[in-house]
Amino acid sequence: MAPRRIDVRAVTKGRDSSVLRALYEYASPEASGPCTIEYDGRAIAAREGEPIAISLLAAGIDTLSRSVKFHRPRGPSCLRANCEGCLSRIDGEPNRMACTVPSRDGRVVRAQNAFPSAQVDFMRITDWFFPKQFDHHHLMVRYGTAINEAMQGFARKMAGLGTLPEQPSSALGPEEIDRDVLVVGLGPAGLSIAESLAKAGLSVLAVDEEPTAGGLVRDSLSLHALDAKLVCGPAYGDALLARARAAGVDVRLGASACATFDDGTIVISGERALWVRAKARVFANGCHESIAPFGDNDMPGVYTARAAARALRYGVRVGDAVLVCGTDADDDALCDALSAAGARVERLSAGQTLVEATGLGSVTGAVVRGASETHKIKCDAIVPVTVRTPAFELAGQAGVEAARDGARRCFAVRADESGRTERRDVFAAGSVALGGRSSARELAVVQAVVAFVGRGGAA
Amino acid sequence: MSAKVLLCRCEDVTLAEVEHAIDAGQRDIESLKRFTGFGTGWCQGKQCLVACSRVLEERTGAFPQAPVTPRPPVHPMPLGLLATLGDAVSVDRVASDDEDGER
Ligand code: FES
Repeated sequence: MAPRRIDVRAVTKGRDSSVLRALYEYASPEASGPCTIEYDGRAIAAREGEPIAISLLAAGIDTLSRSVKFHRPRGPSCLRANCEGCLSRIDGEPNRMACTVPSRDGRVVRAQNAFPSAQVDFMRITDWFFPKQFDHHHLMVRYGTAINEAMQGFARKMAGLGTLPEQPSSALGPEEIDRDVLVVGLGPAGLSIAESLAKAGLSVLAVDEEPTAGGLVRDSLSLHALDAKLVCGPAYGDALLARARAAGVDVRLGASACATFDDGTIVISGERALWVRAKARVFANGCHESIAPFGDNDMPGVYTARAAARALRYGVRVGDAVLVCGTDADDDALCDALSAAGARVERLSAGQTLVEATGLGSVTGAVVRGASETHKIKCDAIVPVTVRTPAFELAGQAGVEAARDGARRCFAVRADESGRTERRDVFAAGSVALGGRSSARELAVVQAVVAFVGRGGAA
Repeated sequence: MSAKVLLCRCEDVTLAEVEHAIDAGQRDIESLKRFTGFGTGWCQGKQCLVACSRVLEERTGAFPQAPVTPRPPVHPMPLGLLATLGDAVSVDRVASDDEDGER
């Protein structure tokens, strides 16, 4: 795989298209300086502050780990803490997601669970030995105890994730926080609700696991309307964030709400755990991207559309020849941006479907089926159709049962038009809720939360 | 070699394995999860739950009414950080919440 760092100055020179302005948010020489990280003993030129997974992609390294049973090669696919492809040992700590840890001079990154390396792993033989599946129900019990024990011992050594950290935990003591409202998720819905709640006089803590605000809109390469102006995603997110802060919202970015209980919510914020007690919880934490089923869909070189857009913001294209399978407006914008960044872009025509990715280690092509024939395409990156599914898990932990969303064929948080759920102190808004996003619902959520907290909360 | 279609990357669960399990009688999403192990890995189902539910729908005609029970944590967290919570979060509290979370 060839290096993929874009020469941003050359690409943007003489152009003033709005798409290009939306691009390269972090890629300009002013945004960050050079630094060097170490990957499996090699020095890698990186840019300070960009996610390590992106530094490695830029250097042409897309295979970072091996899968747990078959030892299939894996690489970053989502660039937003949603998969397992980037798990690495970073500065002596196992199982860090390389897409969430910024590059910094002297950082030491190692592949884990692969022998001898993520790029060449002899254990791949398990993949070829079990061509369809690994049926542990039968395998582990059928062949007598001796073999069984030997296999289990071996499997235990080679499976599992990472080995213990070199240093004892340096975690700081917890921060205990009491607020009227906790808002989780700082996309457009969460940000506008947090702002309105603060303006109504409530004390609000708002958290998002990303280091920046804006959610899905921030990663979108299309333009968005804000106060009758068209702005790009990052500007949109930053403007809403500034308003929320000005209204008095306590905003914590890079803070991940991991577990929620009746009496509090655990938020992991860097080296510190927060224990947040709030009278009301508002979940506006958006969607995940579900895996798209096709042959060898886990191969390094397969990226979600959001990941491909995100890499561009850091001035890195995910491939030199990219097959983009989706057809919505964001996919169009992605294709434009990839072409501007010097990639050759292929799209599926109507009636064509992606059958499988091809390649030995990472993607070198794709097999596509049309109405009458099947043909091969040469490409080194694939962006399948996006399947967005509501992140109902946190509301589920709070005791709100998720419901089937038959039309979208997924699950969503059951909430009424005011975001109220079966739990009186739990509200849901934005795309995580059944029925999806609407500004009318956001207004109604604010009123419902203000009324609930005004009554004294819980009881 | 035939290509594998992965439905659950974290636990290496293939489409063939899920179809085999459904044909073997695991016709609801909880049993399917227990049988194949999908959704029990690093991402806890963020990527695979809906993919498996859709296969179930294609095979049995019905998309599951409800998902599998979500349990903390949403993202893996370092035990060292969890340990700092000490008195703030009592272990009893967490344990009893988990019990009635079971469906
Ligand atoms: S979790 Fe890092 S790339 Fe998906």
